[in-house]
Amino acid sequence: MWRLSWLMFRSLSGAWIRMNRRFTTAGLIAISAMVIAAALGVDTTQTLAYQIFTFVAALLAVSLVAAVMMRPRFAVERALPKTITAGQSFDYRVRVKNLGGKAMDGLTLLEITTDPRPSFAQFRTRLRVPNYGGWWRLMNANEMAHIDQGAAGMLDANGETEVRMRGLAWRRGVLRLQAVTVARADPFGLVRALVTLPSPATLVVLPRRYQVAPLALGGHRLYQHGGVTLATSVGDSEEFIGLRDYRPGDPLQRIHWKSFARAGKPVVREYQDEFFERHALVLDTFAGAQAKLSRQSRADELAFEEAVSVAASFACTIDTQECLLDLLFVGAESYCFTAGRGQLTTANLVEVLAGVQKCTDKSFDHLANAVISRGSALSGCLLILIEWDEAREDFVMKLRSRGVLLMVLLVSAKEHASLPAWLRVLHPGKIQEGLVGL
Amino acid sequence: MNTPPFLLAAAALFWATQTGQWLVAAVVAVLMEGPRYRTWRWSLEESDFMRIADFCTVLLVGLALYFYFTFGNPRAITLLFQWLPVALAPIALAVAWSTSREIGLAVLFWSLRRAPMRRRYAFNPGVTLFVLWLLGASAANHPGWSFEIGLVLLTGWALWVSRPRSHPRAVWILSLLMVASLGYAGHIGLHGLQQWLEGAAPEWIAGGGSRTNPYRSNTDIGSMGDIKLTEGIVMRITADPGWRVPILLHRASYDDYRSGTWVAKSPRFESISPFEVATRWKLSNAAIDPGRPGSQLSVNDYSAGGNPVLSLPIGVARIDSLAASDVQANSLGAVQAEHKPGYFSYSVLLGADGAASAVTDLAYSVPGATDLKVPAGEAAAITSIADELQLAGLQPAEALAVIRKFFAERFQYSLWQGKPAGGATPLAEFLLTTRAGHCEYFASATTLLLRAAGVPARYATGFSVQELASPGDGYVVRERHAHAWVRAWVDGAWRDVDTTPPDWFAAESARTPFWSKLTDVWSWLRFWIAQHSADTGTLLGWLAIPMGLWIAWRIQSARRSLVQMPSDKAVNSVAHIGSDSEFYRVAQRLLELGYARHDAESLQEWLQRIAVLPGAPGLDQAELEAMVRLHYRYRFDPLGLPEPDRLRLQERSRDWLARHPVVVRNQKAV
Repeated sequence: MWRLSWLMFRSLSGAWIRMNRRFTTAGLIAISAMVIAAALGVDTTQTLAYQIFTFVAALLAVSLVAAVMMRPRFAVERALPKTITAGQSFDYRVRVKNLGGKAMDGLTLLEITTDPRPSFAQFRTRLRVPNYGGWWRLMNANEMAHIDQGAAGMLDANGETEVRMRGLAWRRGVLRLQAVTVARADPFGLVRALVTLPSPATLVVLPRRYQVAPLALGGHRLYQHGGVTLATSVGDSEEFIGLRDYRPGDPLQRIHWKSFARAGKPVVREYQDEFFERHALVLDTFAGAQAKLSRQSRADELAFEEAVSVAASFACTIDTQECLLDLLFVGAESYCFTAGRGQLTTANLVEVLAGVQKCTDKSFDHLANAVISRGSALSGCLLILIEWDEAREDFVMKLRSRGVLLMVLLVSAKEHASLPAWLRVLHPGKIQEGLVGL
Repeated sequence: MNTPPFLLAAAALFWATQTGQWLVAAVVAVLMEGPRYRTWRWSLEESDFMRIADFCTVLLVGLALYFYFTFGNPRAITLLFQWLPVALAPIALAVAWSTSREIGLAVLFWSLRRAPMRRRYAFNPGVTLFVLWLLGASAANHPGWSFEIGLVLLTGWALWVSRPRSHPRAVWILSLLMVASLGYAGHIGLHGLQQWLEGAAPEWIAGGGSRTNPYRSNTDIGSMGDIKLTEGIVMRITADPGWRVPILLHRASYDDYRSGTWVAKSPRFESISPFEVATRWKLSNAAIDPGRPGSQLSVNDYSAGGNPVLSLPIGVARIDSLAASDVQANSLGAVQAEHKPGYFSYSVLLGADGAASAVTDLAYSVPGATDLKVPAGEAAAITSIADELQLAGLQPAEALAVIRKFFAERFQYSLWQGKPAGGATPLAEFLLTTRAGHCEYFASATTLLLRAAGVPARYATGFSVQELASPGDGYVVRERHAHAWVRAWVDGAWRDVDTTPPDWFAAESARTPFWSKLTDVWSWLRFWIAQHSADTGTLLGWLAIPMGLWIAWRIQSARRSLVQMPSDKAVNSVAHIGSDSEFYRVAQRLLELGYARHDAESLQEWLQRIAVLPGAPGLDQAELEAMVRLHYRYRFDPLGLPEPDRLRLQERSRDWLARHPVVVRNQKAV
């Protein structure tokens, strides 16, 4: 039953995708007209619609033969942006070269991206009952971006042209472009001859971001063991500030032997302990086991995406000129990425957030322990939660007891009975309104 | 996709050549192409288009109901398709006369209004309308070559304009000729196939139930299991009080029995000329006495496919009030009227003797050799029963009485048949073993037994009228009232002989489902509206006018702005209120002075930024901001800018421009 439904829906969707590639808009209208004429003209004594049916069928048949007989040759090259943003349109250019000896028009460029059709495992685990509506929603969820067909003008023999492709990214992640198809319409402009040119490329789709007012996280400067450059590393190393003459009591391992040789007297490397602010941006990724597709599961997924967007918005807003910002979350393992003062940039943090996935096999304690272990170096912490329970409350209390300044945001559509006054709740779909009030 | 100039007007006129609705088509054509000669447009929004689409939906539903009640299916479907382009033309006209070139799918689909798709799909309704004009023209079923020619020319025109130019023209023209030839061959083949199918399997194509094939009657003799017929009402009968139920309404007789199928061996139809008036048809020379009780009845019938076979009682002398273009009858009493699909009615007057006399009846032939033939396959069983009843040598009336008594006393009515024992024919099984069956068994067996007794007999089919109408007057005839009986030649006239046990009607009625009353009310409603169809059509027409006016008023009140289009080719540009603000010249001067503006920078942000740039002396930020505030109010304040402020904006701008002449300098900011 499940397998049969999956095969049927997959075939149907595949046929629809192939039809959209093979036929022009005029061709699709012709097919619709043919189907309606077939239904209306089923009794040839009642209407003449059967004449429309046979004429359009002949038209499409001749167009198909003409399209199959055409063998155009092209070369393409994309000029892609470095990143794009979810929920926003983007464009890029594709350079098309006609390798044939004849001028051509009626050309269209189509991008082939990763197949959005759900796998059987996804279909089986995410749906309660096999239905086309659910299949369609899963396909929508899998689709990273929609890229419009690009129209190329007249292309001379061996000529080149640049086609502007426009698209809209639906969600964050990595958009994998697999190939470019150059399509040439038949003489009637109904059916296309397709030339698919493999051209794999990837585009990072950043999370959508909201406007956040400049945020003063507060806190005071703390000793950062190891200095700036190694702020995120391990080992006994401080910030190097210069050389000076040896003083009794200096450890021997600090002697700079090259300078000793040059100066003829012992010279040591001098280090300075670093004190600066260090903040943590902590993202809660613990969403529990993957649920069946339902209104609630869609609301939960939306809440998680909004939480990532909020994290990205803050990552871009916090000024890392004078402080360090650690992005902490748990995926397959605990991750910590640091931005500021020669480390990563905030743009890098947003790119990292583009790939954040829900964690379904670990408990919230993993994140809590990772943050608390860094607690002594943290001045402030911005905590973005997607659920509110005892474990999270304990974690917040522990951080508070260590004197870390906290701002806790809960992104959730659920109604919670009693929430502490200091917990700011952001509702999915109304995030911007919520952020304005911060 | 846009349609080329004048294509839609040509398509509308082509529709008129097929339907004859020239006035409607001309009005739509003029309105469709009018925007090419006018520069103003309505500034309509998606919500306005939705209102127009709703109006079209109501119009379409009204038309569908009107056609359904007046003509029934399938005629209603073809008529609906015929008028579909006219009903949907308001949407295409609204787009043509508005600043929009496309409408979203949500305009047409209510579901998308509540749950929009994440990507907006828009289309130009002109292309859809073009296809609908062609489909509508085809639904008119106009004979001749004109449709084929028009179809090729109009489609060719549309394709020629949008064709890729790099293909040689000769190839294109040759391809279209090839397509036209293939299309022609294809539709000739399809039409031929349908005719062949109809000829090869007339009963299957004709369908069962209330449709009658006067050439052949496939009975259910031999079928196992339950016989099921539907509850649908097929006729309504009004009879004078002199009639006694059951009234047998005859449709066709058959004279040759071949293993379960009765066939008419001499089925040639001949036309009957109208008698005295165009709607009166004489079937018998018998004298008529309209004042005699039980001599008149009226039939309200419905024909799905047209050219119906009439339902007539025995001894009919004249048919009145039948609006048919021709009436034909065969020698076995089947009378067929040439009439379009839909409802029709007629009155029947009986001859004075009330039977089909050999002398007077024009439509029912005298007995022949076939009417005495007993098929070899059934001869053994028939002879056995005939011998048992000692029919040989009896007078026809006596033989008839014996046979009636035989069936009444020894047989039962049953709609169910089990598996035959083997060897014997179903009819023999019925006569000798089961002695239970439905009307077709009784009628067939009686026919053959009468023939064995030397009485000419025919197998007759039609309806038995017994059920009083509720709601409504007179009687209703349902599909399950279809009946078979015998016409026997007794005492020089054909007489109806029904040997089926009278309880058959009660047995049938007992199977009536509980929802039958509801469907009866629906059927009566359809019948009532069909009777008043002319009034309903007029009413719909009058209703459409205020509805159209209401829509126009809603649009007008929602957006009272007509936009003057700069030219026919630049329909995209929209005039803005406040576009004549003098501040635009100030902004232009700033650009000329080298203060570049970022792409997404508002005027205010731009001024704030450049006022503090080093090397921008003379730019008074407060002055510029005061001007831009006035400008914003002029542009966006729904209440407009009061006259003194308007003058202040003009003066300040003029003054500023005078103090800041153009001096070419480097760009200040990027």
